[in-house]
Amino acid sequence: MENLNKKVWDLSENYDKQLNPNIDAAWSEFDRRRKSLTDTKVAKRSFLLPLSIAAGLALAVGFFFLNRPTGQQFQNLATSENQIENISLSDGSEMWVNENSSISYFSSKEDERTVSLEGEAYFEVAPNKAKPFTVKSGKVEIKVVGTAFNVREIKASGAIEVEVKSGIVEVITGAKKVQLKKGESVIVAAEKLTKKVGNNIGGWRTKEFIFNKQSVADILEEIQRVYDVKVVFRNRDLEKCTFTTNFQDESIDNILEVIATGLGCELKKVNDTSFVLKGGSCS
Amino acid sequence: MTNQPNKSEEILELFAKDPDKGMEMMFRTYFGLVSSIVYRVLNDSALAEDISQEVFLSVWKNRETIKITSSLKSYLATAARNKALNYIRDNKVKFAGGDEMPEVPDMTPGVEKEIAGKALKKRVTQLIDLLPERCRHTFVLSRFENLTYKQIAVEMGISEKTVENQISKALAFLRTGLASFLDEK
Repeated sequence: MENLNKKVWDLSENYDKQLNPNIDAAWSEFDRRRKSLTDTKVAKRSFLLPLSIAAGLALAVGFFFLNRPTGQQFQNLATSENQIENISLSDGSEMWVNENSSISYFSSKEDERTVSLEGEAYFEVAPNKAKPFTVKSGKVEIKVVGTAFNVREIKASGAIEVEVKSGIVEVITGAKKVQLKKGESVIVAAEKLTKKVGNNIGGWRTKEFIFNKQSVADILEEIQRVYDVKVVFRNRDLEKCTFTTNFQDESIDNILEVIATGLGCELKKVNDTSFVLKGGSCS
Repeated sequence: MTNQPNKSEEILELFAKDPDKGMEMMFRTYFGLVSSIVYRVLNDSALAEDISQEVFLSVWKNRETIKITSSLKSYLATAARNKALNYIRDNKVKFAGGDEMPEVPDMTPGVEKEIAGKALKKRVTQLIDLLPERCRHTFVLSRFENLTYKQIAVEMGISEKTVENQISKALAFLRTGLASFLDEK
């Protein structure tokens, strides 16, 4: 047995995982990203650090690239699980930061309207035509003059989703950009912009949902995300059923009860965060 | 792009004199290496390219303070591995899928006609890529990144016992899948 494992271990040497990226394209991408950084000014040090510490430091220092002249209140807020924070900016704009997200912004400088976001947040931006409000999320830049919109980093794919509740929003990635109006949304993945119709924008904040002939799969995806629960279908065919309903800040049990009843399923609660739907059919 | 032993030093020298040119040379020489390491760990090519960009961006951001005491190549390889590990750590949700082992797939017909080495490569890659995410991460980090069970446990937030179990599961799966290659010997 041991001997066999050793052989298998040796054979696995053959794992062929080479990436042959287009270096020219990668270099232009790097050059673009590099230029969009504000240079960190760190005092020159002359002592040598052990490599591992130096590497760790190099990665850590990277997070502080938003270094600006002093005198401005630079704030950084990170939310933990189940924590939603509401922030009012001095220009009158408001932001709601969803759980497991982090946001950097200036709290006292009225003409500085740039925030950088990791995770998800909903914005209500005070109008100021002369000074656009900019949200940076990964490779995506969202520019607005006065509007309400939601920005979300989709963890599974790294894509960024922007949904517009009111006003006009400009979404820019690399050389491409798109304008969104009320009710529109876009998914940005690998510098591709895919427009779609958005609904329940910022639903995580208000727990108000309106679903109009939407597939059960889509509805549940959103509900599971907002309520942090897992819902399993025994009958996968149901995912394609469409459903029209709305919820106003209801408990997860109530919501799933409504869906189960609508589909004729039996709802089984495994524990507080996981549910199973059995049987049922699209009717 | 050959990597002569002194390539690394040459780049570092250039980097010190002319950061712009040095950066480009470093990037063009090692982006393939860095992205392959990240790709091997994370098994997602788009993600690998993105994270590799960040590896080089970190170098660029810290160009004034950075001190590389080993070879540039191994410095970048370590940085690539660390970035990939950070990604796993920060995205537990994404990787939280089940640990259920898949069925061992049949060999693709026609495989015997290929050169033995090539067929083996294909088969090993197919099998490792099929492992459940957590199992694959554990195996790859141990096998190719030479991390100890303890290091893997710390990085992935699981117990050493779990690491051990995942490795044995991976080996058992590979053993079954590679049966025809093992018999020949």
